[in-house]
Amino acid sequence: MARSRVLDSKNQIIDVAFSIVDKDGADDLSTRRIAKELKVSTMTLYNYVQNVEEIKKEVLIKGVNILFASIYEKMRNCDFNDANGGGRMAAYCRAYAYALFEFAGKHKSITRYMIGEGKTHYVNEAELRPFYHSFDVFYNKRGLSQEESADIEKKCKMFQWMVLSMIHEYIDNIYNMSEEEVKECINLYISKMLCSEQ
Amino acid sequence: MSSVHEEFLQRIEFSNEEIKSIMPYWEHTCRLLGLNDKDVRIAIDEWIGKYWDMSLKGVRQCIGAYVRELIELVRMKEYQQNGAKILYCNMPTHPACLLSNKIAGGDRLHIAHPDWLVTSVMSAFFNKPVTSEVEDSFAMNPSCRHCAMNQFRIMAQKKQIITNPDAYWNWGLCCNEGPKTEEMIRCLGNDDWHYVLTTLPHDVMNGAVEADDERRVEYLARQLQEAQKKISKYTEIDVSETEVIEAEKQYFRYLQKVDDLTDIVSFSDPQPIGGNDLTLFSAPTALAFDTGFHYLEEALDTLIEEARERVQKKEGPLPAGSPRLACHFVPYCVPWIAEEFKDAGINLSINTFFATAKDQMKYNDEKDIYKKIARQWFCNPCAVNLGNEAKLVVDRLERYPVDGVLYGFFSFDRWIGSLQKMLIKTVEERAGIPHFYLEGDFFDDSSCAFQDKKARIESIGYHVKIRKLINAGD
Repeated sequence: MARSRVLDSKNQIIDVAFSIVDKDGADDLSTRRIAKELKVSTMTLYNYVQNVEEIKKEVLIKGVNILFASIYEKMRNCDFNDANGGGRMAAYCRAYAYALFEFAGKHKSITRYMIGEGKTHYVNEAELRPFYHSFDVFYNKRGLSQEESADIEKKCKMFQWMVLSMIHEYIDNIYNMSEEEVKECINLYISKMLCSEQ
Repeated sequence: MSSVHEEFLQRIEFSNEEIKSIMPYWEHTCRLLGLNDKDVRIAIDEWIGKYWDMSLKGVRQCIGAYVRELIELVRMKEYQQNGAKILYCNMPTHPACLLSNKIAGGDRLHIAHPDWLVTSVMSAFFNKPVTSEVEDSFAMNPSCRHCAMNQFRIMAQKKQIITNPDAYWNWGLCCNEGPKTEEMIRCLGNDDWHYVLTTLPHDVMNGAVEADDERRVEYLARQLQEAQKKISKYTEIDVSETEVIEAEKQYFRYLQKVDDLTDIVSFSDPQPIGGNDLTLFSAPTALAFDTGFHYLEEALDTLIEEARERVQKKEGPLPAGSPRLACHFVPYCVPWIAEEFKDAGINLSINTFFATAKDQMKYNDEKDIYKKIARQWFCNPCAVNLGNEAKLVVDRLERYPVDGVLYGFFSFDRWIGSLQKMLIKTVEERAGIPHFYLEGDFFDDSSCAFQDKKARIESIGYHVKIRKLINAGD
């Protein structure tokens, strides 16, 4: 017999899992805890998901969804010829960094998982790869020579490393930067590394 | 005569005279498949109008062609009782192989792809996937996912929804589940289940172009020829090369028209029709109808004209400049997926699986008809080794302008599903456009709730639109 379904959708599980990771970190995520919070049996969860790994991946996908909605909004409202300069690549770098900091401010534990263990596990999963490799739009495209592509890739990677290091310090309370400091730092990098050659 | 059924058939372009003559068969079809008046009413009022572009006569005619074929399928029991032979086949296939049997047999033989036909019609037009019933009855449950077509084959046989064929031509080729299903049907006690397998060994070097590999082409050509001989023993209808040549001609004429439509869809901005509607016409390039290409071609001719009119008027489901995603095979059996992408401002566009015409044309000069069919078959991305598949897909992505590619929906499938995730990375690197993956079941949306996919589709939409904004500066 097909098993009965008592939840409306898998989303209910993911929402609860997201809250658990957000509050207590990914290590505390278990099917038992999710089931308890949803007031269903553990076995019920397996009608909707295969295992806890799938839930963790879905938590990341949900985080990425929120993040990219924010990046899109920032890009959509962006004046690509504004005084800060740097064109579309600089605009994307700013939108990416600002959105990530905003997200980290609201979801520290989720961010830690997204850029730490979660990234290590799922960076090449088909569902998540386009988001983790979003900067490839600048260097993985036709018309660029190998050297140009490699050069842009290096710049993008360095930018991501810088932003992620700052995020790590921010979420681990090593250095509590203000929004202005973050923006200043990012804009300085962009002006030195990207604008000079565009 | 029930008015809801009459209304339904009118809506999909059946003439009043045809409705009168066909109604008893349609009502019988509904009874067998568990479609009650309420289901048909919901299809008319909610489902079809929402997910299919019913303002296009070509689309209405095409849905009519599918339904007409379904009625034919259900009538095959009656045909069989009157002495006709029945030949079934799974999908995908090269249509000429099955169609040549129909051309040779006329009314003495009827052909069908029952698994594909029933699962498609029930899911795409009535939102009543057939798999849930199978899961209740057999061991093929969600923990052991199977292709809906194999599931339906077993259920249909056990419940006698459709008549047993005189022969089942199983194009296993790369699929290891299809042939096992035939064995299972026999094991379930049906000793009269006659099937002929056409398979290929998995022994080609990765990256070899199989359509140009003489040894491979020769092997498949002779496999097909031998399979036809076995089929003819069961059906008692000989199929000559002349009939195969005629079937290939009919197929290729239809394929070229689908190719024309694909070009119109791909190179016009705004995109004049949606991915679901295009796929409705593309899918029959991998199978054959008992009614032949007649009704489909009539619908296709109408749609091409309608699409051209829309291009002239610069009309389409979304405004000009909207991003578009190619798909391996637009999931038209879960039609709300394309609609949800549309709501996110994204067009689902071409099917890389079906855009084969330009590749197949290279082999028009092949004299041996079975070798020609084999070469054409090897132009299908899913029919060849992974390296060859990647090359075919990249060629198509370079030919047709798209902003990304959407994969997924086949995780249950031992044939396509296992290779998709490997393929994505290779194609993405070579084509330079992002590939997205959406988990789901192509034939059955009960495994993926709308709410589960909505946020994911929105997020793919954001990503594609961000890239579009960035690339607009180039």
